[in-house]
Amino acid sequence: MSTGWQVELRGRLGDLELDVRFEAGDGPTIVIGPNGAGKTTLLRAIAGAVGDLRGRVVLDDRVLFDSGFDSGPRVYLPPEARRVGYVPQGLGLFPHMTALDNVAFGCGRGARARARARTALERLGALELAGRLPHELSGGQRQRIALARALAPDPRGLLLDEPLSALDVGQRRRTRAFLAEHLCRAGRPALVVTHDLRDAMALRGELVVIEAGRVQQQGRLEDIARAPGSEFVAELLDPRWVASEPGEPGEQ
Amino acid sequence: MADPYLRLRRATPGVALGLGLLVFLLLPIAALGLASSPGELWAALAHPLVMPALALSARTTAVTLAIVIVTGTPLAWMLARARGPWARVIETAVELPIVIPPAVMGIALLLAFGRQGLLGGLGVALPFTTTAVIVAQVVVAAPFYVQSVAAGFRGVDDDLLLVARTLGASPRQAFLRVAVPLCLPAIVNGAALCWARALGEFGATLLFAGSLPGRTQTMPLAIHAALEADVRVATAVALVLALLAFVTLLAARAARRWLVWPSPARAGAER
Repeated sequence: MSTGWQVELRGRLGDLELDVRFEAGDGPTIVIGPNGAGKTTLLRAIAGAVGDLRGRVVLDDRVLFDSGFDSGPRVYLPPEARRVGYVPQGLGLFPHMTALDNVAFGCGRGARARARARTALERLGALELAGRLPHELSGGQRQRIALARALAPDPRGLLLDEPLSALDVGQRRRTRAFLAEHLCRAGRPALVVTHDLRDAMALRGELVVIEAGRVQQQGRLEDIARAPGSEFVAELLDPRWVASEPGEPGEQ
Repeated sequence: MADPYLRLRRATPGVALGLGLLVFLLLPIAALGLASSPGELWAALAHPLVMPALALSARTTAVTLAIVIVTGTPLAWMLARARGPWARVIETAVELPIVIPPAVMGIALLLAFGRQGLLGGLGVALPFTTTAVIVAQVVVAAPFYVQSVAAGFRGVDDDLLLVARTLGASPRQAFLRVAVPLCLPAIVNGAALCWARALGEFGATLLFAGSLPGRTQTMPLAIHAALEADVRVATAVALVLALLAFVTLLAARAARRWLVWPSPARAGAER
């Protein structure tokens, strides 16, 4: 049995012509690319929100979506059946629920759900935030709650869209380290969208570079930096940056 | 805190015109308030026209509101989610009763549900029944609810619903546990508008349901009937209606303030 993602999606969505094909293994995989390249659309499609696409999405040998183009059976699992945790760019915390209720949302109902939510919060060191509403939390705290909520139902895969974009520099550095620790420890397939190279370096995953709806390049950071396939990649992966340790080259 | 350049200067012609309108709006209400002493009000309420009309209004508007909330909430959801030209056509159709004069709606209702109407052949004959009162109120008042709630649903972030789905919620559960609680201010606002409009319904009710005491004579029709018999009764009933409307407005405003959830994005920006 193979583990990880097999993604193949094609279709026209507004101005975007999406034609993406890649495979990715366990642990975090970084989806990187310029604005408007289709990264968010890709994650939403994998989560099950975008219709009118052709192709196939497989997670750990489980077919989530198959438009049946290889004369295979048509498959469309609705989002609630995919067992994929999704954290959108704005985090998507339910503003009318406490942190605990947010995390318990995906764990069923009643006392058992709350107990499970507490465990998830505790694992991310956020138990003391349980009773707070999202607007009472800082950006980094909200990030933890969103991640705890996505992890609590024990999904098979994770989709994180620009998980650090809403944070200020200090929070960003701490949360990046925290995210790297938890994603690598969880070991489950995760697609992390970013346009910040430092996220990619901290998470140490493989890179999938997306430009204008297509996979431009895929591979390990060092390999891509050695032979950039486009101007965007060349500029993004300036070898002077990549050579340094996964520190904060731009943040001093 | 207001920008001094944006603040209105005193005594410009615009301010005078605005204040003129304000006086014009408030003067009739003040006159109504001053017309009846508390004693006269009590006496008028004892008039045989009043209590049956009040009870009928309370009953019919309660049923109307329940029907509108149960049917109008899903319709508002569909309108808010739908894309494309058909959605806009349906939206315009839903708004039509807002701009069509109530008397015209009364004629239209007769043509649809009257003995000689479209559905008359099926044995449907509603006119001059309490049901007709409710039908008239629903047709005239529902658009206010649907409009308000659809606007509320449009404001719900798609991502919240997708997150709810990925956490295992069915579309129905995502709707009930996320969209509806977040739209409570719009729902309360729409319900208040709808109820106030139903309570005041006159034209369509008069034409379609008539003015039969105890059966179809709601408060506004009772005012009309009392005006021919005793002006003091008419003013007193009018005052009761005005007070009810005022209380509805205050309650809706208070509810709107209490039910709004601060968006984390906005709160985050302040930090």
